[in-house]
Amino acid sequence: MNWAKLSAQLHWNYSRWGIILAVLIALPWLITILPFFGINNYTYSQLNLWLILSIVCLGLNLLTGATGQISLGHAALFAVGAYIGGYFVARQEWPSWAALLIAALGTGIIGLILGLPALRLSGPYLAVATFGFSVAVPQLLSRSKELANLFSDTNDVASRIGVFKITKQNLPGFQAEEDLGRYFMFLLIFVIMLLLALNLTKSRTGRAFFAIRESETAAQAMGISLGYYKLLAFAISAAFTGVAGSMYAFQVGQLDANSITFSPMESVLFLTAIILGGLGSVWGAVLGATLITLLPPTITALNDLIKLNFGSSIENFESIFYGLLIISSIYFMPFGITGAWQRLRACRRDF
Amino acid sequence: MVLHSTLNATAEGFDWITLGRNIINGFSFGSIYALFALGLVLIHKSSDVVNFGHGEMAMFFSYIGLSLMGLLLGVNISKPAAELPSQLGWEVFLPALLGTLLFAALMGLGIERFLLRPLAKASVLSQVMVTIGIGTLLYGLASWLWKAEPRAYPRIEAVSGPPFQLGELALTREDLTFLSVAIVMASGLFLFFRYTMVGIALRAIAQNPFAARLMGINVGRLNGLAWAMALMLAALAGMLAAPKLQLEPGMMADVAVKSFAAAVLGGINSLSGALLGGLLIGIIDNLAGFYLPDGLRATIAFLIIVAVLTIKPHGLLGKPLPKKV
Repeated sequence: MNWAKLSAQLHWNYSRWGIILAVLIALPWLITILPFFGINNYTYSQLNLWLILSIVCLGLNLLTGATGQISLGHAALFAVGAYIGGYFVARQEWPSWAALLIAALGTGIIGLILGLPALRLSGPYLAVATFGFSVAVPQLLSRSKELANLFSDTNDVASRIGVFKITKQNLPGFQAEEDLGRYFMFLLIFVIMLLLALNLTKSRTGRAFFAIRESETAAQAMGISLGYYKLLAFAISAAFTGVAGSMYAFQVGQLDANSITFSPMESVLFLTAIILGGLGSVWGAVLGATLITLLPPTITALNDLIKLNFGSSIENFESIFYGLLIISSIYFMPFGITGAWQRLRACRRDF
Repeated sequence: MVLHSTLNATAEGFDWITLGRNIINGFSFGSIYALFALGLVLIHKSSDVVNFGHGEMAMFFSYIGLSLMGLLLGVNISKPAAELPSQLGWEVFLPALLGTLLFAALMGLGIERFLLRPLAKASVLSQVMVTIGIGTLLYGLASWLWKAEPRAYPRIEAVSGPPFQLGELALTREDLTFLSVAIVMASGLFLFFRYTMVGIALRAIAQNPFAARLMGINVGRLNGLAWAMALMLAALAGMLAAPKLQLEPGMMADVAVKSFAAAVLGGINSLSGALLGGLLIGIIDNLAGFYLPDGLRATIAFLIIVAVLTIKPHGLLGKPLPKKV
């Protein structure tokens, strides 16, 4: 075993990674410099949600960004992960790392099944099918009495239909009461997922994904099995989302299948994040997740500004804002921020 | 004793009258889905785009229609307390409808020209996201301009008379209107695509835009026409369906998914398929809602989409098109 080779395999540039890790570890204190964030639990929970969203975006980017398969169903996969993780922690009293792994596995399998139509579909049809999935799952989770009973074998008050509560004492692995403590747990998972995604995109599998995105016909001609790699992309992407989903369950402690977090709109938000960040780029996914996390406080601030200047705030301003954001990002930055940055660098090099 | 009563309930649960009522209701909703699906098919036939904002667009047009009715009656509907009469005569409804259709046509032309034409060569993801973005924007605008509270929508006086009785089954004039509008629109469009030069040119564009351009067809202008027609259909469907669905910014979310299912089931390139698919989805959905547990109804649309796309990707009446490389 040769360390230089290993570090090359891991794409481990010591100094760069040292800085990144240091910043990530110091982030709960560094972030208080920003105007919206003080030293309080809100800040830390926002950070935790940021890590969760980043992992979803890493997964989605492997599927939509790298392999070119549109998924409007990731919010539903997120819900599946959250319910599996929550179930094993709260009802079976498993340690949370085991619940996390089970959630990854279970969501991966669901993702594999969701990927089956993708073998015959492409483009907008796949978007339609996955959109149907993302409408169906929350309704199934919230309305089906059978499923609700599955989640409530100890018929207590907290487990009414569709709402699923995880109390702090049945989170064995996550004894950290404060959101700050949970941040470091989540950071560890995030770094592992980040390394997985980085190495996957540089591997044989990752190259196959990119080849499928560029041209299915050409990829097939080069001996890449379309079916195998498409299903693999769906399963891996779903597993990432499942991990994030169960982290979300541990973070919020209560799941409501009808909440906006599991609605199709959230899938659109995930896609917006990776488009903003840069399709197919691992760091772009993290960047996109960062932007999307920073948006709600920005929107509230903007709306307050409008209220100050025009007398009344705009109802449902976030929908207007997101709509304009989606349209303009596709228009002005089709390759996202990382794409724009690379283009800028290429321009500077050429002149 | 308990067992006996449950048996009795299931025995009473099924009778032909209830089945018939559900089927009629299914036809009524199915016609709305069919009108939506026709618009989806029209857009997809010409420009190969699936319009994910169709439901929100129809919702927006319903509000525009309501505003125009308010304008004609001198009521400012953006005030939350504003109430329109629950029934309106043709002399108010028709001008409002025409105004809304004009608005929809202009909006269709605008969307095609300024948002989708520049993306004609972009990835499918970009096109899908732009239509979603338009939908999100309209949803936000509607809840800002007209407030998010649900409100009643006036019915047309002429179609809200007493229902026709077929034995024990009641067939409302409204249901009949939906069905006949859907059938008229589908057959009109079918004839348009089959026999007019413009319709044939639109079909040529769907098959091969490049060759169509070589034949002297103005591809951009015709795509704009298809969008304008599709959005006019959405406006018509929205204004007819709004009294039944209750007007609110999120009213079309459910309808949109079912009309996707309808378009896919009938074949996303087939106009008659859209009509058939819409009616079938309406009936299946109503029966599923009545006879199946509540949770399963939600998944029916998804299951149909997946099943059709996997087993027969071009739908019941669609013809397979050669794959573009």
